[in-house]
Amino acid sequence: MNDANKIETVYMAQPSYVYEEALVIGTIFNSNTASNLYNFNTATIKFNQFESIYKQLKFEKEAILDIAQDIIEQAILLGKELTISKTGDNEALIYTTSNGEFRNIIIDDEGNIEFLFISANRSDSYNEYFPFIGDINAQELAGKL
Amino acid sequence: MPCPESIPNYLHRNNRPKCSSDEYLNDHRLYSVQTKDNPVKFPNTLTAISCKWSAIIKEEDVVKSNEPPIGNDYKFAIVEEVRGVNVSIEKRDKGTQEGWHTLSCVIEHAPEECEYSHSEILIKHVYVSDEAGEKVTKEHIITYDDWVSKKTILTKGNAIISQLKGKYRLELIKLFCYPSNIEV
Repeated sequence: MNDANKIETVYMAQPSYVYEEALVIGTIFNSNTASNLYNFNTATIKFNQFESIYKQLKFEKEAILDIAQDIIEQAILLGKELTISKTGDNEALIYTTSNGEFRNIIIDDEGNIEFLFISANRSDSYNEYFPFIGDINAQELAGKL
Repeated sequence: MPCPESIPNYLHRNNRPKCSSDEYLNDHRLYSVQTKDNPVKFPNTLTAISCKWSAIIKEEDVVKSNEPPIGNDYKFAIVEEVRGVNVSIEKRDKGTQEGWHTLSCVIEHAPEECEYSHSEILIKHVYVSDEAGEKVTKEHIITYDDWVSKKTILTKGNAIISQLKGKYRLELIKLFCYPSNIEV
Protein backbone atom coordinates (compact mmCIF):
# COMPACT_ATOMS: atom_id res chain seq x y z
CA MET A 1 0.00 0.00 0.00
CA ASN A 2 1.45 3.38 -0.84
CA ASP A 3 1.44 6.25 1.63
CA ALA A 4 -1.53 8.02 0.08
CA ASN A 5 -3.68 4.91 0.48
CA LYS A 6 -2.63 4.49 4.08
CA ILE A 7 -3.66 8.07 4.82
CA GLU A 8 -7.00 7.50 3.12
CA THR A 9 -7.61 4.52 5.42
CA VAL A 10 -7.07 6.72 8.44
CA TYR A 11 -9.44 9.37 7.17
CA MET A 12 -12.20 6.83 6.56
CA ALA A 13 -12.18 5.95 10.24
CA GLN A 14 -12.72 9.52 11.46
CA PRO A 15 -15.92 11.36 12.37
CA SER A 16 -17.01 13.90 9.78
CA TYR A 17 -15.47 16.97 11.46
CA VAL A 18 -12.09 15.29 11.33
CA TYR A 19 -12.68 14.55 7.68
CA GLU A 20 -12.77 18.25 6.97
CA GLU A 21 -9.41 18.70 8.63
CA ALA A 22 -7.87 15.84 6.74
CA LEU A 23 -6.25 18.08 4.18
CA VAL A 24 -5.00 20.48 6.85
CA ILE A 25 -3.25 18.01 9.07
CA GLY A 26 -0.08 16.64 7.61
CA THR A 27 0.73 13.21 6.41
CA ILE A 28 2.70 11.78 9.27
CA PHE A 29 -0.03 9.65 10.85
CA ASN A 30 -0.09 7.21 8.01
CA SER A 31 -1.30 3.91 9.31
CA ASN A 32 -4.56 2.75 10.80
CA THR A 33 -3.35 1.43 14.13
CA ALA A 34 -5.40 2.53 17.14
CA SER A 35 -2.48 4.54 18.44
CA ASN A 36 -2.08 6.49 15.23
CA LEU A 37 -5.79 7.14 15.03
CA TYR A 38 -5.62 8.59 18.51
CA ASN A 39 -2.61 10.71 17.54
CA PHE A 40 -4.37 11.91 14.43
CA ASN A 41 -7.46 12.97 16.38
CA THR A 42 -5.40 14.65 19.07
CA ALA A 43 -3.26 16.54 16.57
CA THR A 44 -6.40 17.69 14.76
CA ILE A 45 -7.99 18.98 17.95
CA LYS A 46 -4.80 20.74 19.05
CA PHE A 47 -4.28 22.29 15.63
CA ASN A 48 -7.88 23.56 15.63
CA GLN A 49 -7.23 25.15 19.01
CA PHE A 50 -4.09 26.77 17.64
CA GLU A 51 -5.95 28.09 14.63
CA SER A 52 -8.51 29.63 16.93
CA ILE A 53 -5.76 31.40 18.94
CA TYR A 54 -4.17 32.54 15.64
CA LYS A 55 -7.46 34.20 14.70
CA GLN A 56 -7.99 35.69 18.18
CA LEU A 57 -4.53 37.27 18.03
CA LYS A 58 -5.24 38.56 14.51
CA PHE A 59 -2.09 36.99 13.14
CA GLU A 60 -1.79 37.28 9.37
CA LYS A 61 1.29 35.28 8.49
CA GLU A 62 0.03 31.91 7.27
CA ALA A 63 3.47 30.35 7.62
CA ILE A 64 2.81 30.43 11.38
CA LEU A 65 0.02 27.88 10.91
CA ASP A 66 2.40 25.60 9.00
CA ILE A 67 5.05 25.94 11.71
CA ALA A 68 2.56 25.22 14.47
CA GLN A 69 1.08 22.27 12.60
CA ASP A 70 4.51 20.68 12.21
CA ILE A 71 5.41 21.22 15.85
CA ILE A 72 2.05 19.90 17.08
CA GLU A 73 2.23 16.78 14.90
CA GLN A 74 5.77 15.97 15.97
CA ALA A 75 5.03 16.60 19.63
CA ILE A 76 1.95 14.35 19.57
CA LEU A 77 4.03 11.62 17.92
CA LEU A 78 6.49 11.98 20.79
CA GLY A 79 3.62 11.48 23.26
CA LYS A 80 3.60 15.04 24.63
CA GLU A 81 0.50 16.32 26.43
CA LEU A 82 0.13 19.73 24.82
CA THR A 83 -1.81 22.76 25.99
CA ILE A 84 -2.54 25.43 23.41
CA SER A 85 -3.03 28.97 24.67
CA LYS A 86 -1.67 32.51 24.37
CA THR A 87 0.58 34.72 26.45
CA GLY A 88 -0.53 38.07 27.85
CA ASP A 89 1.83 39.62 25.33
CA ASN A 90 -0.01 38.77 22.12
CA GLU A 91 1.86 35.57 21.35
CA ALA A 92 0.65 32.04 20.66
CA LEU A 93 1.69 29.51 23.28
CA ILE A 94 2.18 25.75 23.06
CA TYR A 95 3.31 24.14 26.29
CA THR A 96 3.63 21.06 28.45
CA THR A 97 3.72 20.97 32.23
CA SER A 98 5.09 18.53 34.74
CA ASN A 99 5.89 18.84 38.48
CA GLY A 100 5.69 22.62 38.50
CA GLU A 101 7.86 22.99 35.39
CA PHE A 102 6.67 24.47 32.12
CA ARG A 103 8.14 23.92 28.66
CA ASN A 104 6.87 26.64 26.37
CA ILE A 105 7.04 27.35 22.69
CA ILE A 106 6.05 30.97 22.15
CA ILE A 107 5.33 32.25 18.64
CA ASP A 108 4.87 35.94 17.85
CA ASP A 109 2.99 37.54 14.96
CA GLU A 110 6.09 37.46 12.74
CA GLY A 111 6.69 33.75 13.30
CA ASN A 112 9.67 34.25 15.62
CA ILE A 113 9.88 31.40 18.08
CA GLU A 114 11.12 31.30 21.65
CA PHE A 115 11.54 28.11 23.61
CA LEU A 116 11.23 28.95 27.31
CA PHE A 117 11.84 26.42 30.06
CA ILE A 118 10.48 27.52 33.43
CA SER A 119 11.92 25.40 36.22
CA ALA A 120 10.03 24.61 39.42
CA ASN A 121 12.38 26.81 41.45
CA ARG A 122 12.43 29.46 38.69
CA SER A 123 16.16 30.25 38.98
CA ASP A 124 17.22 27.47 36.58
CA SER A 125 14.89 28.71 33.84
CA TYR A 126 16.39 29.33 30.41
CA ASN A 127 15.33 30.21 26.90
CA GLU A 128 16.41 29.77 23.29
CA TYR A 129 15.45 31.98 20.41
CA PHE A 130 14.67 30.98 16.82
CA PRO A 131 14.04 33.94 14.50
CA PHE A 132 11.60 33.34 11.66
CA ILE A 133 13.34 31.84 8.65
CA GLY A 134 10.40 30.12 7.01
CA ASP A 135 11.74 26.66 7.66
CA ILE A 136 12.18 25.17 11.11
CA ASN A 137 13.27 21.88 12.56
CA ALA A 138 9.89 20.94 14.03
CA GLN A 139 11.17 17.66 15.41
CA GLU A 140 13.91 19.39 17.37
CA LEU A 141 11.50 21.99 18.76
CA ALA A 142 8.85 19.40 19.60
CA GLY A 143 11.50 17.39 21.42
CA LYS A 144 12.10 20.33 23.75
CA LEU A 145 8.48 20.38 24.91
CA MET B 1 -17.67 49.06 49.41
CA PRO B 2 -16.10 47.61 52.59
CA CYS B 3 -13.07 45.34 52.34
CA PRO B 4 -13.74 41.60 52.88
CA GLU B 5 -13.29 40.51 56.51
CA SER B 6 -10.69 37.95 55.47
CA ILE B 7 -8.23 40.72 54.60
CA PRO B 8 -6.41 42.05 57.69
CA ASN B 9 -7.34 45.61 58.71
CA TYR B 10 -3.82 46.98 58.43
CA LEU B 11 -3.85 46.21 54.68
CA HIS B 12 -6.89 48.39 54.02
CA ARG B 13 -5.83 51.58 52.31
CA ASN B 14 -7.95 53.97 54.39
CA ASN B 15 -7.00 56.99 52.26
CA ARG B 16 -3.28 56.50 52.82
CA PRO B 17 -1.14 58.06 50.06
CA LYS B 18 0.76 56.26 47.34
CA CYS B 19 4.42 55.75 48.32
CA SER B 20 7.34 56.77 46.15
CA SER B 21 9.68 54.26 44.50
CA ASP B 22 12.54 55.53 46.70
CA GLU B 23 10.80 54.04 49.73
CA TYR B 24 11.48 50.54 48.43
CA LEU B 25 14.76 49.67 50.14
CA ASN B 26 17.17 47.24 48.54
CA ASP B 27 16.64 44.55 51.16
CA HIS B 28 12.85 44.68 50.94
CA ARG B 29 11.00 41.76 49.40
CA LEU B 30 8.37 41.63 46.70
CA TYR B 31 6.03 38.69 47.16
CA SER B 32 4.26 37.02 44.27
CA VAL B 33 1.39 34.65 44.97
CA GLN B 34 1.89 31.49 42.92
CA THR B 35 -0.86 29.77 41.06
CA LYS B 36 -0.48 26.35 39.48
CA ASP B 37 -0.87 27.94 36.09
CA ASN B 38 1.84 28.75 33.58
CA PRO B 39 3.45 32.10 34.53
CA VAL B 40 3.59 33.27 30.90
CA LYS B 41 -0.02 32.40 30.11
CA PHE B 42 -2.64 35.09 29.51
CA PRO B 43 -3.62 37.29 31.39
CA ASN B 44 -0.08 37.67 32.82
CA THR B 45 1.79 40.39 30.95
CA LEU B 46 5.41 41.41 30.74
CA THR B 47 4.82 44.77 32.38
CA ALA B 48 2.77 45.68 35.46
CA ILE B 49 3.76 42.47 37.26
CA SER B 50 1.64 42.33 40.37
CA CYS B 51 3.35 41.81 43.74
CA LYS B 52 3.17 42.70 47.44
CA TRP B 53 5.63 44.85 49.34
CA SER B 54 7.25 43.51 52.50
CA ALA B 55 7.46 46.99 54.08
CA ILE B 56 3.70 46.86 54.51
CA ILE B 57 2.48 43.28 54.37
CA LYS B 58 3.41 40.60 56.89
CA GLU B 59 4.73 37.46 55.25
CA GLU B 60 2.06 35.30 56.90
CA ASP B 61 -0.66 37.42 55.28
CA VAL B 62 0.59 37.23 51.70
CA VAL B 63 -1.65 34.37 50.63
CA LYS B 64 -4.74 35.64 52.46
CA SER B 65 -4.52 39.16 51.06
CA ASN B 66 -6.52 38.35 47.95
CA GLU B 67 -10.27 37.85 47.99
CA PRO B 68 -11.07 35.47 46.43
CA PRO B 69 -7.71 33.72 47.00
CA ILE B 70 -5.57 33.34 43.88
CA GLY B 71 -3.12 30.74 45.17
CA ASN B 72 -1.91 29.00 48.30
CA ASP B 73 1.82 29.65 48.09
CA TYR B 74 4.15 32.45 47.12
CA LYS B 75 7.70 33.18 46.05
CA PHE B 76 9.57 36.41 46.49
CA ALA B 77 12.16 38.61 44.83
CA ILE B 78 14.61 41.00 46.48
CA VAL B 79 14.25 44.67 45.53
CA GLU B 80 18.00 45.04 44.90
CA GLU B 81 17.90 42.18 42.39
CA VAL B 82 14.82 43.61 40.69
CA ARG B 83 16.65 46.92 40.29
CA GLY B 84 19.64 45.04 38.85
CA VAL B 85 17.75 43.72 35.83
CA ASN B 86 19.14 45.27 32.67
CA VAL B 87 18.92 43.66 29.24
CA SER B 88 20.02 45.31 26.01
CA ILE B 89 20.09 44.66 22.33
CA GLU B 90 21.30 46.59 19.31
CA LYS B 91 18.72 46.89 16.56
CA ARG B 92 20.37 47.28 13.14
CA ASP B 93 17.91 45.80 10.67
CA LYS B 94 17.21 48.78 8.42
CA GLY B 95 13.81 49.04 10.09
CA THR B 96 12.34 51.66 12.38
CA GLN B 97 13.92 52.69 15.69
CA GLU B 98 17.43 51.47 14.98
CA GLY B 99 19.86 51.82 17.86
CA TRP B 100 20.29 50.41 21.36
CA HIS B 101 17.24 49.24 23.28
CA THR B 102 17.56 48.54 27.00
CA LEU B 103 14.92 47.19 29.35
CA SER B 104 15.05 47.44 33.13
CA CYS B 105 12.57 47.29 35.99
CA VAL B 106 10.82 50.10 37.81
CA ILE B 107 8.98 49.31 41.02
CA GLU B 108 5.83 51.31 41.56
CA HIS B 109 3.45 51.38 44.51
CA ALA B 110 -0.02 50.58 43.16
CA PRO B 111 -2.18 50.50 46.30
CA GLU B 112 -5.61 48.95 46.12
CA GLU B 113 -8.50 49.75 48.47
CA CYS B 114 -8.16 46.44 50.29
CA GLU B 115 -4.44 45.82 49.73
CA TYR B 116 -2.22 48.77 50.49
CA SER B 117 1.02 46.83 49.86
CA HIS B 118 0.12 46.10 46.24
CA SER B 119 2.97 47.04 43.88
CA GLU B 120 3.82 46.61 40.25
CA ILE B 121 7.02 46.00 38.34
CA LEU B 122 6.95 48.08 35.19
CA ILE B 123 9.27 47.97 32.20
CA LYS B 124 11.53 50.95 31.68
CA HIS B 125 12.49 51.10 28.01
CA VAL B 126 15.51 53.23 27.10
CA TYR B 127 16.16 53.76 23.43
CA VAL B 128 19.39 55.38 22.24
CA SER B 129 19.53 56.35 18.59
CA ASP B 130 22.09 58.10 16.44
CA GLU B 131 20.52 61.14 14.82
CA ALA B 132 22.83 63.07 12.52
CA GLY B 133 25.84 61.91 14.51
CA GLU B 134 24.32 62.78 17.87
CA LYS B 135 23.12 60.29 20.43
CA VAL B 136 19.49 60.84 21.35
CA THR B 137 18.07 59.04 24.40
CA LYS B 138 14.38 58.40 24.91
CA GLU B 139 12.86 56.79 28.00
CA HIS B 140 9.45 55.26 28.41
CA ILE B 141 8.02 53.58 31.47
CA ILE B 142 5.49 51.15 30.09
CA THR B 143 2.22 50.87 31.97
CA TYR B 144 -0.33 48.12 31.57
CA ASP B 145 -2.49 50.46 29.45
CA ASP B 146 0.46 51.26 27.16
CA TRP B 147 0.99 47.55 26.73
CA VAL B 148 -2.56 46.53 25.88
CA SER B 149 -3.05 49.50 23.57
CA LYS B 150 0.29 48.66 21.89
CA LYS B 151 1.80 52.09 22.49
CA THR B 152 5.31 50.68 22.47
CA ILE B 153 7.63 49.07 19.95
CA LEU B 154 7.88 46.13 22.37
CA THR B 155 4.45 44.93 21.30
CA LYS B 156 5.45 44.74 17.64
CA GLY B 157 6.66 41.43 16.25
CA ASN B 158 10.15 42.50 15.21
CA ALA B 159 12.69 39.66 15.43
CA ILE B 160 15.28 41.68 17.38
CA ILE B 161 12.73 43.21 19.74
CA SER B 162 11.18 39.77 20.31
CA GLN B 163 14.57 38.53 21.38
CA LEU B 164 14.94 41.44 23.80
CA LYS B 165 11.50 40.78 25.27
CA GLY B 166 12.40 37.12 25.68
CA LYS B 167 15.56 38.03 27.61
CA TYR B 168 13.59 40.36 29.87
CA ARG B 169 10.82 37.81 30.45
CA LEU B 170 13.40 35.22 31.48
CA GLU B 171 15.04 37.61 33.95
CA LEU B 172 11.68 38.36 35.54
CA ILE B 173 10.84 34.68 35.91
CA LYS B 174 14.21 34.02 37.53
CA LEU B 175 13.80 36.91 39.98
CA PHE B 176 10.94 35.32 41.86
CA CYS B 177 12.97 32.29 42.89
CA TYR B 178 12.93 32.52 46.69
CA PRO B 179 10.37 30.18 48.22
CA SER B 180 8.16 31.10 51.17
CA ASN B 181 9.77 31.03 54.63
CA ILE B 182 13.37 31.19 53.48
CA GLU B 183 16.06 33.45 54.93
CA VAL B 184 18.19 35.31 52.39
